[in-house]
Formats: sequence, C-alpha cells, structure tokens
Amino acid sequence: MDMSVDELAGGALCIALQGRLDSVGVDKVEPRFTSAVSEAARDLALDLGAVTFLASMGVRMIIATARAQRARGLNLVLFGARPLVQSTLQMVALDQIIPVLPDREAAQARLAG
Amino acid sequence: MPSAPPGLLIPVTADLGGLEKARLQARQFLESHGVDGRAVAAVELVLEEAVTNVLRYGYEITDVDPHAIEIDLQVDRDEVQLLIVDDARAFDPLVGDGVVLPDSLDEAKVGGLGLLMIRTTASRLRYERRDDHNRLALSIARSA
Repeated sequence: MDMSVDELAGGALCIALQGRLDSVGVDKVEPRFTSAVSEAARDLALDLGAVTFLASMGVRMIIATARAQRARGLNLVLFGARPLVQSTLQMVALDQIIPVLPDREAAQARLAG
Repeated sequence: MPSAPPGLLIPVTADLGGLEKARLQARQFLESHGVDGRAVAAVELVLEEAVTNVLRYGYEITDVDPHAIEIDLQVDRDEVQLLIVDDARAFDPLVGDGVVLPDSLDEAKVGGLGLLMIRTTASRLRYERRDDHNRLALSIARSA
C-alpha cells in the first residue's frame, strides 16, 4: 500500500492510495496518510482508482478521516473506485454517508460547489 | 472412483504477517484451480475479516503463549468451502441481529463491519465451539 499527494484546482488536497486497503495495507499507510491529511487542513479528495481491494479496516480508516475532517469544518469525497471496491463501499453503505464520485473532475466540482 | 476435491490446509501464525502469507497461499491455490477473480476476492475478504477479528478481539493482551489459526480450503465444482479454526476466546459471529447500516456519519459504527462483510459475502455459515477452539465454516459460490 502506497500513497501519493497532489492538489486539485481550487486548492483541495488529493491523496491517491495504491494497493490493498486491508489490515496489512492500513497498518502500513495509515500513519503517513493521517499526518498528511491533518497537516494540510484542507478539503480532501481521496482517489481510490488504484485501490485493488477494500476491507473493513480500510472502511474504518475512511470513516475516521471523514469524522476528523468534519470536526474541522472540512469535507471529504471519494472518487474513482473500481467495481470491486465500489461494491464493498455499497455493502457497508459508506456511499450513503460520504460522497462517492466517478472521477477527479466530479470530485473537484463537488468540493468547489 | 471420483477423486477427493482439491484442498489446502494453511497454518497461520496469529499476526498480520501470518495473515498476509496465508492470503497469498490461498490466492495461488484458488487461481491454480481455475477459481475466477470475483470468487477469489470474496474468499480473500472473508479470510481478512475473520482473521482480523480474531487478532483484534480474540486474544488477551497478557497472553504469552503463541497462538495459531488454521484455514482449510476445499474447491469443488460450484463453490469454495472454508473452515477457519482458531484458539481465541469463544466467539460466535452468527449470533445477533447483524449490523445496522449507518445513515449518517454520527451513527456509523465501525465495529461489526467485518462481520457484516462476512455474512453478506459468504453463505451456509456454521459456527461450532469444540475442544476450546472456534470453528467457522462457510461457502463462497464460484459464480455470481
């Protein structure tokens, strides 16, 4: 599990996660991910396009991030999920409580709106 | 005489490294027997959630003896059968009404998500406590 960080037009932070977001992957990436989000203190778009697998530990990390963002008056959106990851997001109804968008442009438009 | 369906017994050391190693072994075994990607991912999800639950909640922090988990995989024509045996404290994942899906960020309870995923992904779940071990058996269909 790896991650890369860039910025959307409009200034929101964009973090792309790469690999398996399971207990092993979360264990590896979470400290770096959490500090990047916390230090930026900006709206966040999470790019799931290169996430090949999502388990409950990954869902837990996303929910914790959404809560931390909201506590600071900031937003979180997800985008680019592959079909397998999308079906897991739906299985746990995460798509009902966090915006799940098709692509980077849609994420940008949502955060700008 | 029909031959026995292919099977694999995977001993797992009770830590994240053991889980990762077991997952890769299971994946290789299933792929070598022609199980498609969707069913392999379903098996991986169930293994991940079941073993993670044991690692996070099943043992006492004061335990000094090493623990072990065992995964038994069988592949037949229509499904993959899994048996997960662990020496953690007794826990029946099939008891209870299941997890209520959250409808807001405030209500989202992260505990129990793994159990929800197991119940949604697998079928014919059976739990038994025998000889101080939890035994969880379940099936994954090979085609959707």
